[in-house]
Amino acid sequence: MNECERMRDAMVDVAAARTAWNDHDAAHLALCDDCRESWTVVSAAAQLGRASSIDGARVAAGLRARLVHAPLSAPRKRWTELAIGVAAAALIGLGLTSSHRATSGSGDRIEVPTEQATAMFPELEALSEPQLKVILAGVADADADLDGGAAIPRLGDLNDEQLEELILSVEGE
Amino acid sequence: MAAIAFELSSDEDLVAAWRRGDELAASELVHRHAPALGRYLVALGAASSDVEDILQDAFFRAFRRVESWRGEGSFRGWLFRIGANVLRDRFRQGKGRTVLSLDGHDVAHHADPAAELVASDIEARLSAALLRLPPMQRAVFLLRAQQGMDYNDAARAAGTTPGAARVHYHHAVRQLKEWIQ
Ligand SMILES: [Zn+2]
Repeated sequence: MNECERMRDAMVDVAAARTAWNDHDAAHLALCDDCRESWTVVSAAAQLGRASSIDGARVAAGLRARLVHAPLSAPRKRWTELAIGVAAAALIGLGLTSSHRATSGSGDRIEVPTEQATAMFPELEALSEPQLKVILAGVADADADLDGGAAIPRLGDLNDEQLEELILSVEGE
Repeated sequence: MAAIAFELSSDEDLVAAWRRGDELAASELVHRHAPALGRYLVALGAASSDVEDILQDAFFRAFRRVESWRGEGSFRGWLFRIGANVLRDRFRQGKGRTVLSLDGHDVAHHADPAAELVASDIEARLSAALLRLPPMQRAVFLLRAQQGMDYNDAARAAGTTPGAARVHYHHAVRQLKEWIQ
């Protein structure tokens, strides 16, 4: 890393008022056109939008209203969310494709060897065999709304990106 | 826990309180992070008039998924990533008046002339130049320069690695410098 790159990194902390230029850096800044131009950009970015007035109280109030209508603590919702995420991860990990699905009744049914799933996903080991089978076989029937607004399609309708989103919801976004 | 105590609590403590069902903890997290996240989203391309709606969506999604935040990175970095995802999803769904593609370069314009009036000339030029950057460079640059995040948090919030974030940041500064001068 050259001196100007090091300065560009340091600019973030100075712009955030976490530190000030020391004598050495101040001298470099005075003499280096490249760094002065960089500092103009970084310091302007630090101020960007400061004049805007986001009303945190209004956001919090709106959020509370939504939470009342869709309480987060409902165990079924949480359980279903976990089940879909884990099952989707298991399915991807096992390399299953739509050709492995057989339609039955109102939704897709997916056959997944539970021993393979638990070997690849230790989180599944905590579940009993019946629980695991329910999750892996019944995931397509889940109707949980993971995003609070847009209905989540059945597993068979998800594209790669949506599946990735499901996995992120389990692994931590 | 009293409201005054919440103000002194860490994000980790507030999330733990929220998990126990304390709604005041959630409100404190919103008050703490909404302004900065809103500034970030507007700089990313959200219309100012939509930003409070987007913030509500982002916090709602975050609180629903809070079990998936395990404290391995900052709550703030995790939240900012969710916020950017909400903005991206809104753009894809054509909701609201979000004016910018986060996937490409089909930039339209900022739809909030009032906000631009209060911005200084350099800020106005920077806002316009930002929209010309590739999405990842724009995000990382803002997370660093506007939000003051370190590379680890910026990488987590942008969905990349710290090493790649460093490259994106330096490229972005060099490019913006050129466009703004
Ligand atoms: Zn220099």
